[in-house]
Amino acid sequence: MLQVKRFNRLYHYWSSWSLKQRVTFAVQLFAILGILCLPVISIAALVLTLAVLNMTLGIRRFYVKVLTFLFDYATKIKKDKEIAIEADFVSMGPSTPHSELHFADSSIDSAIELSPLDAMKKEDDAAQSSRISRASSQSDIQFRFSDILDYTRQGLEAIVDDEVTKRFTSADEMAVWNLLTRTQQQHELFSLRVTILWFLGFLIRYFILFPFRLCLFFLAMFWMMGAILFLKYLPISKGKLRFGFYINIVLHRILSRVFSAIITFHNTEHRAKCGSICVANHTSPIDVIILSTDNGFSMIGQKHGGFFGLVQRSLSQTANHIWFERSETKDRHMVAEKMREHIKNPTNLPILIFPEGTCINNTSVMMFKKGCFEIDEAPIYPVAIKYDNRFGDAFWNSSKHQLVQYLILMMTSWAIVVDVYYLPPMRIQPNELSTDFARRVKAAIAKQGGFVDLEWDGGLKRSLPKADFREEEQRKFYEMLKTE
Amino acid sequence: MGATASVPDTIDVDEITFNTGKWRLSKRQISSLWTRFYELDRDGRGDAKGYKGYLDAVDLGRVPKFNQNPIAKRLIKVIFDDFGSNGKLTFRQFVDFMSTFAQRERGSHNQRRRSSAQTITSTTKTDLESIRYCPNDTARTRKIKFIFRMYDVDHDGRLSKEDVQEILKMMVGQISDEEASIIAEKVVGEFTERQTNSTVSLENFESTLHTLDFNDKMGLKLLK
Repeated sequence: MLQVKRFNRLYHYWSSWSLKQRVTFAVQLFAILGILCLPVISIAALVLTLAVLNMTLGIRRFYVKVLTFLFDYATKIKKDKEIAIEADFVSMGPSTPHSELHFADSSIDSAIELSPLDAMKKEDDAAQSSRISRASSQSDIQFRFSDILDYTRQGLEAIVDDEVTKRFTSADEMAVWNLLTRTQQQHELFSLRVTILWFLGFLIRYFILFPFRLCLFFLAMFWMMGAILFLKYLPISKGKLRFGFYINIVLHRILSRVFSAIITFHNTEHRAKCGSICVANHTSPIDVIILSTDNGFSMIGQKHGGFFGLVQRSLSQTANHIWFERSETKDRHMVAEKMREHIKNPTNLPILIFPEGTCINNTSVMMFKKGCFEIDEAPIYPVAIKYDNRFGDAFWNSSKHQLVQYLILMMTSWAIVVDVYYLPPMRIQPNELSTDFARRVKAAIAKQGGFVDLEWDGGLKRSLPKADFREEEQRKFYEMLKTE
Repeated sequence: MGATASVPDTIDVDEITFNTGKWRLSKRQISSLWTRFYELDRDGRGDAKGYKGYLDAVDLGRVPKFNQNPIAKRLIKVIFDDFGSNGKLTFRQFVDFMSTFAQRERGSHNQRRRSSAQTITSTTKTDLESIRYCPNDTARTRKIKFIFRMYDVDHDGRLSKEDVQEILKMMVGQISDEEASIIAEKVVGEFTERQTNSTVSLENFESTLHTLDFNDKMGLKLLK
């Protein structure tokens, strides 16, 4: 009852004003709102301008320098504390002459290397040859008790550490702690200074950086919507594709600021040109954004429904992308045909492909699927993408995090520091198999990025290894027995 | 997106370090093992989210390098029989198992010299008893017992021709029973001075490996 009365009173008051008074009031209201929102609007305008002109104020690089200094400081404190605690721990335990006491200095990390197997084998041969020296008259196969030792040892070593499994989780602990509890293995916050630093970092990341980045994200969405509307009503002409190209790049530059990405491009003379295929190693969904800040690409993929389908359709306004029906993806031939068609048109942008098929943790490159390497009309432009883990781990462990969760983790990291290396174009040689060509390209990318070059299939992330490999090993062992 | 959390509070690291006795691993090594355990432990669909809290044979089989090893199946059987329970391996058991094979680091030279002088003296133990693990075994002894058990397929405490035959078949895959039988006989014969139908005991076995620097060959680096 009271509210209605108040409202009636206000209404009477309002209607008693003259027009002039009403206009003055409205203008005053908007002016106040404008002043309050001024920082937001001006920052948005600033970011937009920078994105369009491809300039940078250098703020992010400075920020990264400050962070590096902070991390070194925090790690130093942590190490000092750690030494103190290890010393206590060691002196606490029972002293036995057989136990190996670890002295907490940096030499802990350099564990003594195992002596190479060959040296041991030689000793082994010499010792055993005196025992089993006669070649049997019935068969010339020599088998020793110690043969099982090697395989046992290899088996145990594989349990402790193997080349493949560790590529599907984030890389190991770093020498310098980056004040993110999500990465460190032993971050027991036993020092007050470090705890304070971490807490401050937490506040800054979640309550200052994250909202700011979220606003930038909305800015990017507005830009895209505005651009799509603009393009829709523009008559189809040559200019439309040029507009689309630049709109795309600006969009991705804004998006890269959402993640505070600091990208350094190397060898830009080898940037992919129209009518070619660009291949890169895959670490995260952000790869696409990073590559697109410098060049426009045609995406290739499955048609989705829902929100993502909407995104696909709107992107299709800016450039010609290749989208498939779900049923068509199995048909490799059709995929290759569509790609060939796309390449023939000289105004079409280069196709971007990630031949690994899945996200790998940026320490290695896994087997490239040979599909796109079979197309010999187009040159392949390899690209190596190397992330610097210190400021934020970009690897998407899809079995651990959902996409949205992952994006939020990205937006609350310090920054994403990335080096992108363009490599000179490669073409398939006349008598080369597509698998060999794929391997060659992979080796080039691995070499440039400093990755370990593995032949294993990225699909091992989810599926069990095949039995063929074991049969191969068994056959090899048999051969070895025979030749001795 | 960390590799792991630090070792969770449900697992008392200090307790583990204390109780692995003479082969006490450092905190760092245990953390390293924890990372590995966490990496290997997945649910039925291979997803990392399904953390079971123990390892089973499928988890180990998922490692490609391990899976292609010819004696992988036998190794799994021995590990789970000796160290696990009901086909499961908890973290404590995992550490226990790994501590047998951890490489000795600096300061171990004395230990090596001393232990090579030791031999397994079986007094009045039965065969079965002699291959069981004892708390006061040296690292070397434990490793030897482990390898012996790898060979001893029928688990009777002695290596017979049949045991060696089984192992050979497993390691080579395609081999005829006859050929395997011949080789097995020859191998066993070397150690029992050509007495037919006899078997190799733990002592005999141990003496064949005497000349090898066993600890080195079977020592693993546990820190990544």
